Amino acid sequence: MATEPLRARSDAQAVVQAIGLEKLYGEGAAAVHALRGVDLEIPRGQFAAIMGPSGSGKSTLLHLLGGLDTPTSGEVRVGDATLSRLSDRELTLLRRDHMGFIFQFFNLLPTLNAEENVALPLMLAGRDLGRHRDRVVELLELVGLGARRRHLPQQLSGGEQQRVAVARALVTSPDIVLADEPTGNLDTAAGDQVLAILRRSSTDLGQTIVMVTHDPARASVADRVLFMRDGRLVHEASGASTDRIIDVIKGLEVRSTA
Amino acid sequence: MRRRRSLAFTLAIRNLRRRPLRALLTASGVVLGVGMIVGVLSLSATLLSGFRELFDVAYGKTDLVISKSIPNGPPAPFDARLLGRVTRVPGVDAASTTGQLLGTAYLIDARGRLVTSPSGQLSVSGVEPGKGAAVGAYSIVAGRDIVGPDDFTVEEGWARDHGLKVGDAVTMALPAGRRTTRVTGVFRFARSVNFGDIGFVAEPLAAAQRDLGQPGQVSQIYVRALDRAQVSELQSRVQTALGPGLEVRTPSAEIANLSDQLQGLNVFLLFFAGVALFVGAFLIFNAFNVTVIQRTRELGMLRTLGATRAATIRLVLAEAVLLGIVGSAVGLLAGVGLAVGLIALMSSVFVGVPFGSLTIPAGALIYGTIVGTLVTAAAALWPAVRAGRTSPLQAMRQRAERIGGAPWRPAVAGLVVLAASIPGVGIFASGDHLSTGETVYGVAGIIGVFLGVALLAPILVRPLVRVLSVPLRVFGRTEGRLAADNAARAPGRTALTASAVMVGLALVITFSGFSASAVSAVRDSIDRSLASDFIVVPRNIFESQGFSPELARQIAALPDAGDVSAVRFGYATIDGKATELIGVDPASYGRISETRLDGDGTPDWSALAGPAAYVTHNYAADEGLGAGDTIAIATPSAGVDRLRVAGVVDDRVESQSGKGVFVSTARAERDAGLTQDLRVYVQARDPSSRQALRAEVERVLERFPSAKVLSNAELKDEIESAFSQVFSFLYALLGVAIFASAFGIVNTLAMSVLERRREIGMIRAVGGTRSQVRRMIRRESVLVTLVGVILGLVVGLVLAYAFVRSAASSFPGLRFVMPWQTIVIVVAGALVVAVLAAALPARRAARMNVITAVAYE
Repeated sequence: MATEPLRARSDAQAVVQAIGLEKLYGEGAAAVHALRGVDLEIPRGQFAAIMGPSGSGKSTLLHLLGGLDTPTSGEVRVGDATLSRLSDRELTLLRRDHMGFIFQFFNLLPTLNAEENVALPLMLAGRDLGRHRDRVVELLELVGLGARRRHLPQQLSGGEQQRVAVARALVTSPDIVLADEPTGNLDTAAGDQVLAILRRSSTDLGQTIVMVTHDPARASVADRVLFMRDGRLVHEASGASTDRIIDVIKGLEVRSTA
Repeated sequence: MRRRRSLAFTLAIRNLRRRPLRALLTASGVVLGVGMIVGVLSLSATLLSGFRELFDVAYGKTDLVISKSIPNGPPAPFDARLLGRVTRVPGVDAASTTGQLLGTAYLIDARGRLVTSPSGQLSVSGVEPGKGAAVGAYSIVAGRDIVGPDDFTVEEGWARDHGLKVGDAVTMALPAGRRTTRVTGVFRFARSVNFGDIGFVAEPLAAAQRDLGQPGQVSQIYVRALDRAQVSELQSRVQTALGPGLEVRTPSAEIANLSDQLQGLNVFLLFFAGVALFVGAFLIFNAFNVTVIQRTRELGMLRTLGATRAATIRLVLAEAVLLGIVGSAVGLLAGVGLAVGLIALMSSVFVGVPFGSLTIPAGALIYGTIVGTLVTAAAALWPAVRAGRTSPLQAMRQRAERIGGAPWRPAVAGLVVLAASIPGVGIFASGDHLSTGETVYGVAGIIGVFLGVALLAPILVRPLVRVLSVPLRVFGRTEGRLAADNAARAPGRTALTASAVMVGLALVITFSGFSASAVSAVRDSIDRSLASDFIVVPRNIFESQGFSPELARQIAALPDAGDVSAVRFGYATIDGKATELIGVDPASYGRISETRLDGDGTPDWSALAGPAAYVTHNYAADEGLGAGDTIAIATPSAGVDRLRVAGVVDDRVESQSGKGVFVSTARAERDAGLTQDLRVYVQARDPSSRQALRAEVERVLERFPSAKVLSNAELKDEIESAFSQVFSFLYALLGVAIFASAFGIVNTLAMSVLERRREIGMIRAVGGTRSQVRRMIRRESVLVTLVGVILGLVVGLVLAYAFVRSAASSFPGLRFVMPWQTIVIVVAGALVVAVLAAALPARRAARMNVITAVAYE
C-alpha cells in the first residue's frame, strides 16, 4: 500500500514547490480569482506561516499544496511528484503516506479513542498496529496526552482534541505537515500549547510545516512568514517578531489604499 | 396566525423543492403504504363485485337456494328426489322451480390432448331442459337453449376464444370418461363477470348426471315463490319440509355470507397493507429525525428571529403534511396499479375465482389519503417536537456529535408492549373461530410484537453489531472497523432501519416456517400412513369432484395390480351437524393403509362392513365420543342410520378438516350420496411389477383423463408445490413491505453520509481512498441490514413456532420445522439488497469534495 519514499532529499531541496499557481472558482461574471499566480518553495525542515486577510487565498494555497484541490493552472511538486499528474488514488496515497493535515475544526472520528484517531492513517494503510503502537504512544506523550489515550473525542477539551489531531498529522513521519488555522477555534492557552508542539516538532524533529493563520502572534513562532493579499504572495519575512509582523500588515494595508 | 401558517407552508414547500430526492425517499414510505391500502381494498371490492355478478347470473331470478349444508367448499350433490318434496310445499311455483347439477370438466383438443391451462377448464351446469331461463340471467346469442336431451350450450366469450360455433364438436374429459358432443347453442351472461379464462357450458340435467357420475343427484335447487312478498314464510316452510342437512337461503343471504367471508380476506389483506404502512412510518420518522438534526442551525436561527416553539413544530409538521398529501396521491395511483397486478396474480393462482370489472371503492381513496397523511404527520410528530426544543443558541454553536448510550426507556416500553402483545398472538394462533374482538387483539398482538422488538432494538444494536462485525474486522480491517462503529454509534437510527427490515423478513419467515412445517407434516403422514405404491387423484388434487368407480374396477383388473382401494369424500349430517364423511372399502382399505388406532393398535377396517364407523381423534375429542358409542347419520331419504363407533383412529391423510367419520363406501353412497371415488390407492402385485403397473394404470387413465396417477413421492411434491403456489401470493404482498424497507436502508445511509460529511472528508484528507470510503458505507449497510435480518429471523421463527404449536392441536403430526431454504434465500437476498441500497450513498460519499467537507462548517 505504501508509496515509495520521496527521493532526492537533500536539505537544500524544497519539499514542496508551487509554480505559477492560479485558481479560479466559478465561471463568467461570478468567477472568483482565488490565486493569481503564486510561486513558492518550502525547504526541508522549515516552519512556514502564511498570513493574510480573509479571502486573500491562503487556505486555497494550502489546499493546493496538499493536493486536496486542483489548480486552474500552474504546478505543485511534492518531492519528485507532480500532483497534477497523479490520479485521485495516487494523490490519496501520497497524502496518506507523506503528508499530515491539521484543520481548524479538529476533525476527529467521534467513535475512535485518542490512540485510534492518531493511528487512523496507519490503519487506512492497512499497517499492523501492534508494530506502530510505540510510535503512537510516543506522539501522544509528545502532545501531553499520554494519560488520556483511551478517551473518546467527546471526553476531551477542544485543545486536547486539536493536540490529538497534531499527533495524527505526525504519525506517519510525513515530509510535510499542512495546518489550516490550527488554533483558530481554541482559546489562547490551548492555542499556545498546540503551537508550542508544532514549534518543537520543527525544532527537535526537523518537521517541515506550512501553517495558515491570521494571528500575527501565532505567525511569529514560524521561521518564515509569507504574506498574501488578493491571491498573490506580496511579502515575506524571516524570524519576525509579532510587532514586526503587525507592522508589515499595516504597511501592506497602507500600500493597497494608496 | 394566518401569516405564520403560510410562512410554515412556504418554507415547507421550499424545503421539499430544495431536496427533491430526499423528499422522494421520505415519501416512498407513504406511497407504498397507501398503495397497499388502495390496492387490497380495490382487490377485494373487485372480487366482491365479481361474486355479486356471478350470483346475479346464476340465480338472479330465484327466491330461495337450497344446498347441502357443508362447512365450506363448492356445493356438494344431494338426492334429486328432494326436488319433488320441495315443489309440493304450498307457495312454491313448481313450474319455475328446478334443480341443477354443477361439476367440472377439461377440454380435449383436436389432437386428443387434455388442455390443462385455465382455458381448458370447464364449469359444467346440468339444467332441466326448458327451465334454465327460469333461474339464470343469460341470453341465447346463437342456436337454441337447452330443450332437448342432446343439447349442449357454451358461453360466448369462451366459444370465441376456442373458435367454436353452433354445430362444432367439443370433446371433454369428465369423471365418467371422455365424451364428444355438438354445440347446439351459445349463451351470453347478463353481466360481464370474468373468471379468468375458464369456460362455462350447460347440458341437460340427465346428461350431466351421467357425465359427472352423479346419477339421481343435484347440487342446488332453485325455488321460485308464487308470491314474492312471502319469501321468508316460504323459506321456513321449505326448511321444515326438508329437515336438517340441507340449507335454504335467499340469494341475498348467500351474497351476505360471501361478503362476510371476503371481509375476513379483507382483514388479512389490510394486515399486509398495515405492515407496509408501518414500515413506511419508520422511514418517515427516520428521515424527519435526521432532517431536524441537520437543520439545527437553521431552526435555531428561526428561533433567534422570534419563531416560537409551536411555530417551529408547525414548520416541521407542515412539511410532513405536505409530503403526506403528495405521497398519498402518488400512493393512490400506485394502488390502482397494484390492484391490477394482484388481480392478475390471484386469478392465476386461484383459477376460476370470479372477478368483476376493476372496482376502486371511493372509500379506499378517501381512507388511503387520510391514513397516509395522518401516518406521515404522526411519524413526524416526535422529530417536530424535537425541532421545537432547539434553542436559539444552537444556531451559533457548531454541532458536536456525542456518542450516547443506548436508550433504556424505549426498551422498557418495548418489554411492556411485548408482554401485552404475546397473549394476543396466542389467541390469534389458537383458534379458527375467533370473535371480532379476538381477531383485533390478535392482529394488534402481532403488530405489538413487531413494535416491542423495534423498541427493544436500540439496546440490541451494539451487541449485535459487535458480533456481526467480527468477520468484517478480520477481512476488512479499518473500513470494517469504521463501518461497525458507524452502525453502532446511533443505535436508535440503526434500530429503526433494522426494524423496518425485520418486519418484512419476520413475516416471510413466519409464513415459510408454517408452510415448511405443514409440508413436512404432510410428507411424514404420507410416509407413515400409506402403504400403497400409487395413488390416483383428480388432475387438480384439491378438486372435490372425483371420478367414476369404474376407474377403480378397471385398475383392479390390471395384470400387475395387487390391492386396490378407493376412498370417497363428502359431507353428511351426523348427530345434527354437517360432518366430513369418508367412505372406505372395508375389505381392502386395511391393506393399503397403515393408519393406527389412537393410542396404538391396528384398526379392523372390515368391521365397517357392519353398522359401524371409525372416527378421527379430533372428531372424537370434539364430540366426546369413544369406542362403543353410537352416532346417527341423517340420510336424505332413508331416515336415520345409527352406527356404533368401532374406535378412534389417528388419521393423518384422509380427513381434510381433521374431524371426520369413516364408514364403508356402500354406506357413504346410500346415506350421503357419495357416488364417486376421489382417491384410489393402488399397490403392485409385487415390487418388481411397479413400473409395468404404472404404465397399465396410465393406459386406463386415457379413458378417464380428469384423473392422474402419482407415486407417493410425486404426491408429496405436488402438495408441496401447491403450498408454495398459495404462499407465493403472500410473498408478493410482503414484497411491497420489503421493497419499502430497502428504501429505508437507502434513506438511512444517505442521511448518515450527509451527516458525516466532515468525517468522510477528513478520512479522505488523511489518506482514505475512494474505494475505502465506498467499502465503509457498503459495510455499514450490510451491518444494519444484518441486524434487521437477525431480529427478523428471531421474531419470524418464534411466531412460526407459536402458530405451528397451536395448529398442532387440530392437525396431529404437525411439528415445527426450520425453513432452512427460505432462511438461506432471505439472508442472501438481504445482503444483495444491502449492497444495492448502499450503491448510491457510497458513490456520493466517495465523490465528496474533501475541502468543503473538511475545512468549513
